[in-house]
Order: sequence, then structure tokens, then C-alpha cells
Amino acid sequence: MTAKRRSPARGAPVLVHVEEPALAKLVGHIARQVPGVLRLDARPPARAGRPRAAVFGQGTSDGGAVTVSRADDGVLEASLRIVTATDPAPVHVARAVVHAVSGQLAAMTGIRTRIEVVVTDVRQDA
Amino acid sequence: MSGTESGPAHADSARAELPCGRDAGEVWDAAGAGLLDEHVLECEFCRAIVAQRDALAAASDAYVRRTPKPPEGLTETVMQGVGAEQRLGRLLPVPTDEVAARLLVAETAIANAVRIVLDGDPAVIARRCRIEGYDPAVGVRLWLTVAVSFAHFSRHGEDAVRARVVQAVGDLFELAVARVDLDVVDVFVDRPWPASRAESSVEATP
Repeated sequence: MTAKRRSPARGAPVLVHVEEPALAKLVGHIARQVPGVLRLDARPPARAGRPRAAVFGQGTSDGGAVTVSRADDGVLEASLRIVTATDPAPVHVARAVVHAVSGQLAAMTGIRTRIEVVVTDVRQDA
Repeated sequence: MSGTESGPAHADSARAELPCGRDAGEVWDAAGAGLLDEHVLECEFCRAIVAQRDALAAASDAYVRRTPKPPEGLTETVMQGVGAEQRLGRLLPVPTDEVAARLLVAETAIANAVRIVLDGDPAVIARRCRIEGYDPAVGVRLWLTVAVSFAHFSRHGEDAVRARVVQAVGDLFELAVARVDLDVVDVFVDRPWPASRAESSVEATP
């Protein structure tokens, strides 16, 4: 993901490039901070005959729990798989994750995002 | 023969001779067997070995005799893991106003949440929970098997379980429930493990 910025020192445009895997790690880190997220849910390992999709320009982190890719319109698409507690309600936690990820990414990088949050499991908080 | 030559040398190196000339290992074994001669009883070095042996024996006996206590909630945690649905199932969309966001909930998550909520009720033990279908217009259809407390077994009790499930799915996932099929597969007198600390806002079954 490349974003054009103005250099604060010289006012000239500079290119800031953030690799997708780094963005995926960042998204995972932000999501883990949201109250109610017990953990990020890694995707099960690929089985023979069903290889996991490996696409250039796609970044993953946390064992595939976070996937980041760039859409044709330049928007960053992030998909997260989370396991939540029952309190707060999982649907509220999922919304909080959307707000946290889109808000913090926009503030830190200026990148527009489209977020998909999948609640894969609900566990009793210890 | 080198083997026979090295044997005694090895035995000597393992021997721990006390200043009184006795071997510490032999004194230790004699104390364990209760065969203490006059020298051992009078010699300060031998008595020190016997005291060390007695202290260690007392500590190890106490360790063996202790009754280990399982951590609180162990059975409940294990049973939740055993009963939890492992397959993810379908992903159901949750209604949202966000344009740039999509929220999905796995059938497994709904089933496990329902189980957690029902486990907070001392009158019910959730056995299996399955999402039979989902229609965005009317909601999800659930199928549950439960064990019910003998004291609370009644038709009204089943209605209360249904109401509890409907409220839980609505509160936790903002999904409507179209139907809850309930199979009572067992009746229990004493709950085999205490009801969980379900922190849901759903009220317990009366």
C-alpha cells in the first residue's frame, strides 16, 4: 500500500510504502487491544488438495487471522477472525474492532479501509 | 581386565566417607531400615546424616499424603471444551449501518454462546446446539438438546429456556430467532458440576 505524503521538511511529495504484511500485523495489534476480544482466531492449516490462497499483494498475520489486501479502488480491505467473550456482546465487540481498526489506520497512515470482522467463536471469559 | 579394575575405582569415587570413617550412604540406608548401631547414635556426623534423612522423609511423606485440589471451575471448563462445536459452520451476516464494514458470525459462535448462557442456569445443562437455518427476514432456527433439573422439570421450564435463548441471541448477536426446537434428553437431580459464571445480561430461568 503506497500513500503519497508531503514531506514536512521540504514540502515536496514523498512516497510512503507500507508492506501488506506490516499492515496486517498492525491491524492485528489494534484488534487485540479492543476489550472483549479474547484472541485472534488463526485459520486452520491448509489441507492437501485445498491449498491456502497465496496471492501477491496480500498480507496476513497471526496465523492467517488477519488478512489484508488492496482493492481495485485503492481501498485497503482487511478481514479479521476474532474470538470474543460474551460480555460485552460479541456484536458490540465486532463493531468496536471495526471502529478501532478503521479509525487508527486512517489516523496513522491515511489509508481508507473496508473491514470485515468474523466472530468465529464465543468463549466464557476467564 | 580393565572392567574389573575400573569397578572398584568407580565404587570408591561414589563412596562418601564421613570424618568418623563410616560411609554416608550406608548410614543413610541403615537409618531408612531402622538399623542404627551404637556408633551411629553417638557420632555427631552419623547423627547429622540420620537427621537429614528423617527431615527429607517427613517432607516427602507430607507431599505424598496431601490431597491435591483441582482449580476452581476445572470441570466446567473441560465440559465446555468437550461440548463446544468445533466446525465453523456457515457465516451469518449481522445487520450493520456501516458502509465500509461487514460483520459476520459463525454458526459455531452462536451455538457456543447459547450453551454458555444456558450453563449459567442451575436448572439446565445444554448438551448440543445446532443452527438449523437462517433467513434474514425471520431469523435463525435453532435446535437444542438439554438436560433439565428434576426440581424444575415442567412445560413452563421449557418455555423459559426458549425465551432465554431468544433473548440471548438477540442481545449477543442482534439476530432474530425464528424458532427454537428443544429436546429434553435427560433429567438430573444433582447438577454434576456447578452452573457457570455466565455473565450474560439474560436473567436466569425462574
